[in-house]
Amino acid sequence: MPPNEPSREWQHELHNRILENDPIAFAELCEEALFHVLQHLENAFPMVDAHTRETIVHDLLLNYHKRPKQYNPSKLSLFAYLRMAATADIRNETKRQQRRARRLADVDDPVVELELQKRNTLQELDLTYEDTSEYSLQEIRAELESELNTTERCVLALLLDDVRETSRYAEAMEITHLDDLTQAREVKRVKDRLKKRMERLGKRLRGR
Amino acid sequence: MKSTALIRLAQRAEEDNSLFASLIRQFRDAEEQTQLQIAANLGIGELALARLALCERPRKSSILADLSEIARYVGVDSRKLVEFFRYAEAVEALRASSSSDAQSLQAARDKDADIPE
Repeated sequence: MPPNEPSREWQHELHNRILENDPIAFAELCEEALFHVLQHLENAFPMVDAHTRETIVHDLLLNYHKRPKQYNPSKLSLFAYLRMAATADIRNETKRQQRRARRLADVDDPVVELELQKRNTLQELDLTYEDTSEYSLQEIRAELESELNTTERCVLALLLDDVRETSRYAEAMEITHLDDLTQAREVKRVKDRLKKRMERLGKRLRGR
Repeated sequence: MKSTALIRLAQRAEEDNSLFASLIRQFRDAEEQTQLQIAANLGIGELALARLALCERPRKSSILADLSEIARYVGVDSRKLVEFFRYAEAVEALRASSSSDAQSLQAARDKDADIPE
């Protein structure tokens, strides 16, 4: 339930005074509206931290001061407008923070980590190919595969097929009986080994 | 909570040149005073200084009347406020002028550097 707000007439008059650059009107609005909107956000978004809620209301009031005409008094009261705008801003901010948190969490995700490593590996493979243009990609792959055991060959094939799921690698490596974390760790270990072999192969081909 | 949130809002408002907050910042930087010292010199508390910061600068057409209304609202002596306002505005003008001079000097130097010997 929204906290009590001053009368609509008072709000309307205050908005008009702000439009006319009345010297104390904006300060009066801040004194009344800051706590009102903060309370509304605290009730509606208790999970959002107090600092974020406060920053949103500060920005909102300062933006309104810069462009008071963005508020249309014929549609709703000034305080209702501020509550509505604050709600929209806090939702956007929450989404932004969630996206950022997801990106940070992804760095530790074995699947994403594997994907990043795969990209690096393919880039290295392309670089090797460019540097040794007399060899076809198939020749380079054949050269690499000749040095790999069966498991490593399966992993390489999955990588080149753009497979992302750790479970597929675990199946190929016949380690599905292990727990998820160990599976991810084992897949990473084989990937690292493959990467080193590719680096060595690249150096060798360049040296020929 | 209510007063600290208002004080922090007043600090955020310093970037808005149409508000008194920007003048307080100019004065604070020039005189190397803290907010509390400025408030004390004006004979008010930190919360009243925040209320002053959130006031509009007086309109050119009604400077004294506006300052008088602001003084009443904030609870500051109107003569002290007029003095403060005049001093802060002078500091601001001086800073703007030195900044403009520095820019002109730099432009002249750049122009000289462009002329082949």
